[in-house]
Amino acid sequence: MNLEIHRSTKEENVFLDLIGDLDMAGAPILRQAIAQEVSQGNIFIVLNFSAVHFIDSSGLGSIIGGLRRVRSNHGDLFLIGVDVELKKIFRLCELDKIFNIDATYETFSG
Amino acid sequence: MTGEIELSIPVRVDYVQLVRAVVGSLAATNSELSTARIADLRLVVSEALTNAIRAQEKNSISERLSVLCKLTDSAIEVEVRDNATGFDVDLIRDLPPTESPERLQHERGLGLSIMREMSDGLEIKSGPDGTVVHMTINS
Repeated sequence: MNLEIHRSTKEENVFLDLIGDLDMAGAPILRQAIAQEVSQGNIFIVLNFSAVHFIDSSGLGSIIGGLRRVRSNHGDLFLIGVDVELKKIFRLCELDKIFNIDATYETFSG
Repeated sequence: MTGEIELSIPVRVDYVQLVRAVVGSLAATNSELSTARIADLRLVVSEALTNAIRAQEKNSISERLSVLCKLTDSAIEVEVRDNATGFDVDLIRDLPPTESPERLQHERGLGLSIMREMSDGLEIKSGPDGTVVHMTINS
C-alpha cells in the first residue's frame, strides 16, 4: 500500500504514524510531511514505524533528510516502533549510529 | 518448484511495490527460501528497480523496464534491465563516515551497498545502451 501518515501531538512532540512501505513512492510523502511540520514550527517529530514493514534506501534517505531539516531548525527527529527486519537494515547502513532504533511509544509518552 | 517469469514494467514509482510483491510471491513457492531471505530479495529488487527508474527518468526515457526472475531448487536469480545511458560503478563515491555531520547532507548512495550486502551474488553490466543488474539470493 502507498504510505499513509496519521498525525497527532503530545506536548511539544508531533507524532507521525507511518502506515505502509517507505520506498521510492513513500519517501516523497514523508519528506513533504516533515517539511510541512517544520514550516509550522513543529521541530520535534516522532516517526512511528509500528505499521511499516518495508524500507529501502529511498526511505532511509527521506529520514536522513528529515533529520537534517529539523536539526537545522534546532529540533530533532526520533523513531519508535522499528521492527526487527527494519532494524537489520538500519544497522547494515550504520544508521543506528545516528538514530536510536530501540525507542518505543512509552519513551515519549512519559 | 522451479520456474521463470518476466515482467515488463512502466517507468513509474508505484510499480516498484508491485514488482516486490510478485517476485516475493514467486520466491515463496520455494520452501527452501526462508522468510528472511525473501525479505532480502524484496529489498535488493527494490533497490535495483529504483535505480533503473531514476536512470530512465533522468534521461526522459519511457521505454519499459524488464525484470526477469528465475527460480531454481536452491536460489532465485533476478535481473533488472533498463534502457538508460549507463554509469560507471567505479566512479561511485563512498559516503562520509556515519558520525560525521556531513553524512546528513547525503540522502542517496546506500542502494548499491545494500545490494552488495544482502545478495549472494551481484553483477552489474552498464553501457550506453543501458544497465543490467543480476542478483542471486541463495536459500
